[in-house]
Amino acid sequence: MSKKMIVLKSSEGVSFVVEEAVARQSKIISFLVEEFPDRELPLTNMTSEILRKTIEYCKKHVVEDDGGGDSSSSSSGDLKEWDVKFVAEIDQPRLMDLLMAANYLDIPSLLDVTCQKVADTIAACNDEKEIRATFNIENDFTEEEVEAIRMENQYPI
Amino acid sequence: MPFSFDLAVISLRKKKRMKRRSKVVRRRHEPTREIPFDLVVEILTRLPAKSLMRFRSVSKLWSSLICSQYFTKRFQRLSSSSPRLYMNLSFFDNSHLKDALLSASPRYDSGNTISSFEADQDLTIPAMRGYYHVSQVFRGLMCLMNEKSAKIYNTTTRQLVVLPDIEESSIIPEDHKYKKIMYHICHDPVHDQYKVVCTVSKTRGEVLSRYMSEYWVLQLGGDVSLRRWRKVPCQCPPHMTLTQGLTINGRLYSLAWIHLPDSVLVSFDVSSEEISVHQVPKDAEWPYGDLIEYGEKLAILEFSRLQREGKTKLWVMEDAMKNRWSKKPMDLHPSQLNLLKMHIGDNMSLRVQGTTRKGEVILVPRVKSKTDYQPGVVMMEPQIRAFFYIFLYDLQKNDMRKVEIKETPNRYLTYTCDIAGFDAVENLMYL
Repeated sequence: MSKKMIVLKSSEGVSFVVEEAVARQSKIISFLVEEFPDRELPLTNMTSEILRKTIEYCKKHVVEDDGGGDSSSSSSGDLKEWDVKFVAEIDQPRLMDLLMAANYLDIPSLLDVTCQKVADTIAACNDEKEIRATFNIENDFTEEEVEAIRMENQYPI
Repeated sequence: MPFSFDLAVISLRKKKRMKRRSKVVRRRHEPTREIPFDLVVEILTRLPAKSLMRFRSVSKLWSSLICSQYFTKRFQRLSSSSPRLYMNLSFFDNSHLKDALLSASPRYDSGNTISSFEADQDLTIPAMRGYYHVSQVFRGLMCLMNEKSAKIYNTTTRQLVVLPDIEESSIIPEDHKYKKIMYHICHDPVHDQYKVVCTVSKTRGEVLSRYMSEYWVLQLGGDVSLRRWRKVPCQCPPHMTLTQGLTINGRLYSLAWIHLPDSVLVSFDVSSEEISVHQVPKDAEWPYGDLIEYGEKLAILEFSRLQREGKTKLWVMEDAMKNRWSKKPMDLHPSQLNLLKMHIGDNMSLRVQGTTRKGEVILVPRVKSKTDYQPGVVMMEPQIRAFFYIFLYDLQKNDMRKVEIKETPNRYLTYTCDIAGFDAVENLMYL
């Protein structure tokens, strides 16, 4: 039996042909392929680069159904190791894009690993200034307010 | 017609998450692209509590989110922190007695059993000053008591609050020889609230078999100005509470005396605040036992003969309604009994201080009460009073091990080492 394929189209109009089982790890795509007969889904807010990364992740994590129940293509330990390497190789802005993609397409396991990686990056920062710089967050505190929080952390009464 | 509607529409309809956007992360290479609020929550929930406390000053959004009830509850549900042993040390520093509140992380051997503890965290804050006794550590919260007052301490946020006095109590202000005041922190699973329960009891005059008792409840969290003690109407016979409370499935249990010498089990429903009294097994020898959690059930561990003969009896409450208990007698292996005898001399005894996550009972050595530490009384010979080890008794396997507590400061000047309990929760709750 030949495998069902679908086409995902990036914001640049590049088409990616993927197995349906791979794409269906996204709950949104899974919902769409059930509801609509179309085999081509335009993902207008995803760049080719991020879409390629997302597909790479889904390919690795697809659970192959060959009639004999669930059998993952890799053992869970290997998969974890692979995940760590996968997110380690991505730079910060692209990691945020991938996190957004995982959220947008509703892929829980990818959302989990990307969120964890962002959390680890935050935890590794030396101070709040480094966090603001890394994630481009605007500082809306006055010096006094920051000092008050710092004092509270040291001597909570 | 080719399929062409934006996925975001479905995404938006499916989950309302997109509506709550906030200015959090902006990337340089693209004009403002924001991360939805719930993703910020997702990310922050995965941070260690220590980082969260430090990084509250990143932005107003982070600060208010981290302090919010929504976040603290979610964090407690999802975060997994490793368990720690909490202890209170007093030692001589330039001939002054000082207290230090420490926590120690377990080290594991190849069989994944705890081989030792290493004190690696000092939780002392200046506001604690003075002598206090740590009665309990429960889900990241601690109750510090001294003769006059009780304080609640959050071991994660290091916030310390002094509880108001129970002014309306008719027992507390009275100077009485046989008076017992105990504080228990517990959690109401129905309303997801923390409460402090204070049990106050005394004998009627000098008659040791007749009692007066009161139950007081204070709810933690919420508006501090509205925080006060409420008296719980008690329909059950007056009793004298004997043990520190143990909370299982929303019920606070403690052993008490109603008539000497028989003890009863008092159960306090944390949510409805109803108090009920259960009989303990008739042939349970009292008062040499304590309450423990055994396989998610309440149990009484009777260990009066453990030290000399290696014998213990475990009574497990199988059915509270029918008051059905099962009995499991145990004999310690002779080699382990020897180990116990080697360290616990005749002038010493053991007390139960909770269980580990694997269900091992924590047995803490102590000097018998005659020479017990009393506030205000400075004893000489500090080195013989502090014990830097505990015993872990695995009741399932009937296996006991001695576990050292390492790396505590001022070891040779330490006067007492009071084990407060084992806890695995990082609680961000604002008290």
